[in-house]
Amino acid sequence: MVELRKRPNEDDVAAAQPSKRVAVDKGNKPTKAAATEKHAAISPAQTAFAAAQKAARDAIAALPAGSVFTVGEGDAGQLGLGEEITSRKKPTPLRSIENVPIVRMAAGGVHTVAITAKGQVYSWGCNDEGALGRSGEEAEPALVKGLIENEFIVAVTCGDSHTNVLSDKGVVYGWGTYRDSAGRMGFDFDTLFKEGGADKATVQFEPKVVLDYTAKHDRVVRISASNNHTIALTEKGNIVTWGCGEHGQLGRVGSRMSDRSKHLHMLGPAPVLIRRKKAAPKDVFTGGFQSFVLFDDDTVVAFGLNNYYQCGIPDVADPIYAPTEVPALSGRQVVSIKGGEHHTLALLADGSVLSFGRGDYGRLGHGNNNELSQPVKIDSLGPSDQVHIDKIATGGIVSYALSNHGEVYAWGMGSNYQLALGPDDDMDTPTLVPAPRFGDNSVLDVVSGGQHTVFLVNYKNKIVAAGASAAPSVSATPMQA
Amino acid sequence: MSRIIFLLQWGWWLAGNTCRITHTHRQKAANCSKIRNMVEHFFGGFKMTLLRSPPWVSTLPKCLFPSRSTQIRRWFVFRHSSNRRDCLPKSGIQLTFCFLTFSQFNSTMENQDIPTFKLVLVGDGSTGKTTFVKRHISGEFERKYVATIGVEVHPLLFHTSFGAIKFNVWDTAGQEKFGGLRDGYYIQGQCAVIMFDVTARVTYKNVPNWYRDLTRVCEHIPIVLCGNKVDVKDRKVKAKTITFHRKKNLQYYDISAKSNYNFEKPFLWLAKKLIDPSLEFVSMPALKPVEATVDPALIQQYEAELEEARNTAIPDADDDEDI
Repeated sequence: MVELRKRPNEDDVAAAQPSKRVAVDKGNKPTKAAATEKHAAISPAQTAFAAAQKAARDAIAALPAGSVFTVGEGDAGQLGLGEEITSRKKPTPLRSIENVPIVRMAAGGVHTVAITAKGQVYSWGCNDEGALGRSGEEAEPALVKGLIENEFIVAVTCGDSHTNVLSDKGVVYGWGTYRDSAGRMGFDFDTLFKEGGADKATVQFEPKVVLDYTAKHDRVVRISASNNHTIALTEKGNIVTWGCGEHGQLGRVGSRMSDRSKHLHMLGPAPVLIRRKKAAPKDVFTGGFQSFVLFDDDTVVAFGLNNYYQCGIPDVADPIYAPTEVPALSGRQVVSIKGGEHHTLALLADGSVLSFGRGDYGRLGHGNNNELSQPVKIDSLGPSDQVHIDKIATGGIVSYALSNHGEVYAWGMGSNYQLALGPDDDMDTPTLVPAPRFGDNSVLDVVSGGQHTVFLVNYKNKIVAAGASAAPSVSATPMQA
Repeated sequence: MSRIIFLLQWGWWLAGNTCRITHTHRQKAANCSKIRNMVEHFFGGFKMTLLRSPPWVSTLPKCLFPSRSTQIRRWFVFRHSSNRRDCLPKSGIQLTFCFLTFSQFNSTMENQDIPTFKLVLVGDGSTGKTTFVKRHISGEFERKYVATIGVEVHPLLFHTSFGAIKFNVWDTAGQEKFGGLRDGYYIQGQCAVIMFDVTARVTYKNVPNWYRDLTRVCEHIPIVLCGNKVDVKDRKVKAKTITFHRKKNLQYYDISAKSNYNFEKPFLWLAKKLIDPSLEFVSMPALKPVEATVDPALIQQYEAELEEARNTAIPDADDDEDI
C-alpha cells in the first residue's frame, strides 16, 4: 500500500483507491493487478486523446490531394519555381513536388507553406526572418524538419514573417518573427532575450512549440494567422491570441498596452475574454489586422483594425480593442470568413459571399471601388441551381471564390498578376479563371499572399459539366486583352 | 487642479499655423486669440481662456530636450472655461499648457519665393523613412506637424544650379502602420519616394500597393524607389531581384540613412525631372553626422551588381511558356 502511494506517476488519487483494494484481495499478484487497474483508470482520457488524434489524421487522409500551381510576382522565391523565375502570369505547376500529394496550403506575405497527406511540411519563399523554418534553398520547396519532423501536421497558417502549424496532438508549433510598425518584434520570450533585448529582437529559424495544452487535457483545434498575429481555438473553447496587438487584433490588449515596451505581454499566447458570451466558440478567422470568432449560436465577434470598416462594424473608425459583436454577420449562418489587407469576405451556408471594407481596385467585387461599412452580398456569385461557392480566399488586395465544380473566380488588384487572368488589369467583379489554365482540372483550394497566389489542383478530376461551357464566355475579355 | 494636460508635440503644430509673431501690442493680442482658437479647436470646441502671464509661468522649464532649437521661447497657459458643465472637471480647474520654441518663432520669417514641391514619402513601417528625412539638419528644425492628417512636413532646402528649391517632404508620422494612407495624404503630391528595407524583403511586399495608391491619386508624377539600410551587413535583397522600378519606369537608389550614403540622389533625380535635366546641386545640404559606415568595397560591389542588372533584360512574364 505504501509502495503504491509513493508511485510518482500516479495521476489520480481516486483512481488509486480501488487498485489498493484489488491489491489486498489478490495477495499473490498485487503489482500486475494494480497495473492493469491503473491502466484502465487512465484510459478514458488517453483513449479520447488517441481518438481525437486519429480523427485528425483521418480527416487529413480523407482530403483529396492535389498538385500545387503558383502565379504572380515571386521576387523572394515565393513561387517556388527556382531563382530564375520571379514572375508568372499563368498558373504554373511546381514540378519539383509534383509527386507529393499536397492536401493543405497557406500563403504568407512572401512565402508559402504546404502540408502533405502524410503530415509533412514543405516551405518555400523569403527566409529573411525565418518564415521557412529551415535553412537551405529558398526558391524551391523543401521539407521542414527539426522538431516537427516526426509529428503529423494537420493544419498550417502563415503571416508576413511567421508560420504556425498544428499537429494531430493539438499542439501548435511556430517559427519566424512577428513585426509591428517599428520593425521586428521577435518571436517569443526566448528570442527576445537571446541577444541584445528588444532592439535586436532575434528570429526563430527552427520549429518551436508555441502552444501545448495537452497537460490540461485540452487540444488546439483551429489556428488562423494573418500579417502579424495568430489566433487559436481549443477544444474546450479557449480563444488564444499572440503576436502584434497594435491595432487590437489580439482582442486582449488595449491601446495603452499595445506599444513596444509590452512585447512579452503580446508575444506570449494568452486567452481572450469575451464578456457576456454564453455560447461556445466554433471557429476563428483572421484578416490582415483583424480577427473574427464564430460562435455556435450563430453570432460573430470581431476585433482589430476597423479604419476601412473591415471588421464590419460601422460608425467606428478606430481600432476595436475589445471583442465586439458584428450585428450584420450574426444570425446569417456564416461558415467562413477571410480577410485581406483592408477588406473581408464572408461565406454563408447557402453559398453566397458577402464582402466589406476598403473598395479600391475592385477588391470587393461589386463592380465599383466604393468602401462598404456593412457586409453586402456579391450578386454575381449566385448561388444558382448548379453553381454555388464552397470556399473563399483573400490575398493582400485580391479575393477568390471557389465553386463546387472546382472553378476559381478572382477579382481585385491585378498589378501582381495574382488574378491568374493574364494581363495586369484590375477586376472589379468576380471573373472566372479559365479552366485551361489548370489543364481543365478542378481546383481544390486557393490561398493567396502579398504578391502571389497558390492553387491546389486535382489532376484526377476534369471539369466537364458547368465549367467547360461557362469558361470561354466569361473569360473572353481577359484572354483577348 | 484635477488634471493637467501637457501638449508637447502640439506646439509644433501651433508653430506651423500661426503666422508671424510680431512685437506690436495689438498684433500680440491677435496672435494670442489665434492660438486660443487653435487650442479650442483641438479640444473639440470647448471654450478656453488664455491666462495672461501668471507669475508662476516663469517657473516652467525653458528646455525639454538638450538642443538649442527646442529651447522654449514662450509658454501659453489656458484654463478650460466651457459653459457646459459636463466638459469641466468635477472639482478644481483644468489647465492646458502649450509652448512655442525659438526655431518655431524664427521659421515663421522665411522667404516665400523659393519654388516648393510636395514630396510624398511612403513605405512600410520601420523602413527608415523618418530617419532618412531627419538627416537634413535645417529641414528637421523647421518641420511642421499637421495633426488633422497625422503628418509631419519637413521642408528640405537644396541649392541647385537653378537657384534654391524646397521639397516639402510629407512623412507619415506612423500612420502607415495601418498599411494604407487616406487620399488626403497624397493629394497634390508632385513627386514621391517609396522606401523599403533591403534587410527584410517582407517590406518589399507592399511596394506595388504603395505605387498603385500613389498613381491613383497623383497620376504621372516622378517616383523614386529607395532600398534603405544598405549599411547592414546581411543584405537580403539582391540587386537583380529589384525589378519593380524597371517595369514601371521608376528610378532606383540604394541608400543608407544612417551613413548618409546617397542621401541627395533621390532629391537630385526628382529635381531634374521637375525642373530641368541639366540641373545639378551646387552645394551639399548640411547633414547629421554619420552613425554607421558603409564598407567601400561593398558599395562598389552593389554598384557593379546594379549596373549589371540594368544591362540584363527583365525576366519577362509576357510570354511565359508552359514549363
